[in-house]
Amino acid sequence: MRHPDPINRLINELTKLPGVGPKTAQRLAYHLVYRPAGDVAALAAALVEAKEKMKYCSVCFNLTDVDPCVICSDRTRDKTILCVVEDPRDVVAIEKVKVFRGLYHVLHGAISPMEGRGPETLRIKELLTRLKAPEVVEVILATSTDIEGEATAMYLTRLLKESGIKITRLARGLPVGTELEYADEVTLTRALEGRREY
Amino acid sequence: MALYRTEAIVLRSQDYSEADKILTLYTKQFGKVRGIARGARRPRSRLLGSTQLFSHVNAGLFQGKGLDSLSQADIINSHRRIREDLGVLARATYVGELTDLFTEERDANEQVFDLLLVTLSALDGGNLKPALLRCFEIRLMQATGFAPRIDRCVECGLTVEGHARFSPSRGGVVCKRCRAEPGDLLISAPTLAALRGLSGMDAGRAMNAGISREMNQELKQAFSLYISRIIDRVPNSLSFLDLVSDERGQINIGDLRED
Repeated sequence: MRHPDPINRLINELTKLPGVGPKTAQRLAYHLVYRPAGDVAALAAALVEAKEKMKYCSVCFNLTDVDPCVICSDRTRDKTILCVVEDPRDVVAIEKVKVFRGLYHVLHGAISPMEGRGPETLRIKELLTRLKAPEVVEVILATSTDIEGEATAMYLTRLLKESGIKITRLARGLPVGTELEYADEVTLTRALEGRREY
Repeated sequence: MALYRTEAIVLRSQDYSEADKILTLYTKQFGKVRGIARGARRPRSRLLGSTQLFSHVNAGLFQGKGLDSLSQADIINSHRRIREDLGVLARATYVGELTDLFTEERDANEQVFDLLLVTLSALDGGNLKPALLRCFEIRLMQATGFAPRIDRCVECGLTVEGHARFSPSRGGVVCKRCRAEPGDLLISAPTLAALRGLSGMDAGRAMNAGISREMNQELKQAFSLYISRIIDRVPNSLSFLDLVSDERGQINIGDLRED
């Protein structure tokens, strides 16, 4: 049996979301129909509000509802260190740790030569413009450790090699709680190379 | 569902769902195979390290109705040095993309597997010689049945001596006696001889052969036009390869700050 048209339209919209297949979309659609009208209206309003109010911070390009974002406008943050990340979600992950007190720069992606995503598609020009400011002394490359993240980090390192700015990369090695025998060759090699006096 | 084991090289990886990856593997026994690696993006996954691009692994896959499912992958060689140098990485990406474009799924071709492995091992060893990519291109085309004709003229069939023209549209060299067509490229006698050498000798030796900058330029241009005709587009990774091969891609922030 076919779904009624309004449910069909809802399923169609939901299947456009990442990780949502037709079965999940169907489950979500029927769930929403059973919810009280007020809950559904609140969800719809939250969707519209998030879309309307979120914009890019004109300094770090993180997603924000105020410009500049709360991190960039916080006077207590260390303006000499810039942490370069691929995605706004990476900023959230690092902020949760409450260890880093510098500023961020969000690239919005990583270089992926095979998918045809070159450096010109990222916020690299904007990063270089920010680095004109003399107070920046260190750039932390916090891109992921997959091939795309490594390619982006290497590309930025090459661009900034002669700049005199200290370039650092997040340490790579064993995740906390790992049993050594399950670690792969690359991770173990990196862990050995990056060992520290204890 | 049947489990099968094979040596494989990771050619391509796409994120899928919450923590999965869809991998394109080039396997020794079955040719190109697409498979899903469930949970392979989770930090503690056993598949996380072994499903990185260009890894040479012993893979165990379950045959599925659609995609096969990767259940095990033990690293034989991670080719980790490929990811430590931008120039090497750009070349390896081009090698991977071209292999993907020139092969069909489930079309076993051990020659392609061996060529891919020799090329990635050479790159892992830091071989940045121009002969490496030209040798890979010609041999991949030979192994997949797309090789341009370089021994005889594609028009009259006579042996080509001295310099000649390379015709991407006619698929090979054209001798001086036959008519030229728009789009033909001049190819010098030493370049033609070098090309015949690269396609004839042992791959490992050929990739270390010395070819001059001019020869490389001629061959690169001829192959890139010919390959674009076959696959109907320019490979995505080519622009990045050109970009990182250009040493001018370095910026002096000191200069920027004096503005």
